[in-house]
Amino acid sequence: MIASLRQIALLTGKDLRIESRSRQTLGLVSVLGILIVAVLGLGLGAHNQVAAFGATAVLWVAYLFSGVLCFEKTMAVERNDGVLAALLMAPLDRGIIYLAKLLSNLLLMLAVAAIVTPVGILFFGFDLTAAPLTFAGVMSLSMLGFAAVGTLFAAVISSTRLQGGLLAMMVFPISLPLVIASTQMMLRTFRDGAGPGMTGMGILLAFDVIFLTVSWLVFEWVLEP
Amino acid sequence: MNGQNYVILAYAIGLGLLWGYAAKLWWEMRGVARRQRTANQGGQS
Amino acid sequence: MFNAGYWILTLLLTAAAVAMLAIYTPEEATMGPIQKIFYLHLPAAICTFLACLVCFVASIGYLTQRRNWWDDLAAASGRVAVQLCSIVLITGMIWGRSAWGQWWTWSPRLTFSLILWLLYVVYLMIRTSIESPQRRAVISAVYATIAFLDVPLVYLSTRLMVDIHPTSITLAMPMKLTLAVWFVPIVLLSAGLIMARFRLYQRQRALAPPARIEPGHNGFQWAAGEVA
Repeated sequence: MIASLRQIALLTGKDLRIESRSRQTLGLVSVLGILIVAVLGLGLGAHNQVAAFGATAVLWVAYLFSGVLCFEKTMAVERNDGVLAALLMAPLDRGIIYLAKLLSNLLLMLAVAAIVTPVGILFFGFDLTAAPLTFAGVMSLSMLGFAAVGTLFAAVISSTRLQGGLLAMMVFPISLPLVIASTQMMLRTFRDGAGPGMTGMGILLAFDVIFLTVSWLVFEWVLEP
Repeated sequence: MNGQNYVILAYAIGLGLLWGYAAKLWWEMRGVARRQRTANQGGQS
Repeated sequence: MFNAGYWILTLLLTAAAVAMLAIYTPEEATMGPIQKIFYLHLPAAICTFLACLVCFVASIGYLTQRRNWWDDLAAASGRVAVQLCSIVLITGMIWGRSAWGQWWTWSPRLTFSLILWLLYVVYLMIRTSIESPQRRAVISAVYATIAFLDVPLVYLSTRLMVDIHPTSITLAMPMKLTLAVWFVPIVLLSAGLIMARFRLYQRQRALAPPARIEPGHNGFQWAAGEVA
């Protein structure tokens, strides 16, 4: 167990070290997120016209697109210099590779969210003071599920000569329960004044648990150099 | 366009899609069978 | 089993079901004639789910055994699932247009149908996007597995949404009979189409040129089921 955690930490650390040297992925993904929020802000007529619960919609669009880019880039790193082939030949459980990749993606996405969310709040004037922790909790749980599926799919298609947009096409419909559940929970919290609701939370948790487990299991069978 | 016509439209589309696909598959199956026969005969028809 | 006799029987049953609907089935008191869409809508919805289930099983079968016919079955059932789901979506929209004047509402049922449709249309798009047969089979199998597991979550999350037009139908005996009668040709059609498409894939595969080393593998071949 400890050995596995150490392996995950090693692999994730490698990814983050590469990232910290170039800061390429974080920069690209954040800028894309900010651009999307800007486009939506211009298109929707911004300040005071979109209520607080609209925050999830705007941010989801930004996260979905920038997230897909993030997952593609973290997998592309493995393709360079035959890193993936080397990893596969190491005495590592494939599941560990998945968990490490997932952790890298999660940390990057959380960093992007830390940048893009304040921008969204700024451009749209969202008033989240009623329940900021609920908002953060809901979006974080959703991000986890999104990253779980995105990491798996990005790995599975990374060896293919790609049609553009394939990863986005695959991840978006799968992630819709997350979008719906978080939007409905935000409506309950900010428009109706009730809490987020147990059903919504249950759906997010179920999504995370199911897809984390399944992705971890399936990873064993699908990775090719 | 009253309720009755909408019902007819719905069934026409639904059954049309399914049976249309059946017809398309039948047609393609014939084409494949013909190619298979030619292949079995070594390219001579 | 799936020969000419099967299809003639299915055609006759379809005709009989249509006749029954036109002559025998009464209109529902509150909703009027539009309610008759239900006898196509519900069987199509059930068959959509069954086709998705077959696709799921076939995908897992391919991932575990790596036999090509699993892939062909998954592709065939995926195709039929999209068609059936299109019917569910279209009949649902027509019902909504007739009953409440709107072609589209974000009601739980319509939204669920839409997402299901999108999930499996993407499945078909994935299959056309990838040239290498082996990668195509693996990637679409992984996607189909995840997509099917997603379906209950989609269902639950759409139930969180507000239902503006809840429809609960109480069926009198003649209506239950009509529904039962309609299930038969729809199920036979669905199963028949899946098998027919499957057979077509198999025949096309038999005619295709023999497999060669695919570019990009550099001689690195994974044997079926081998996991290093």
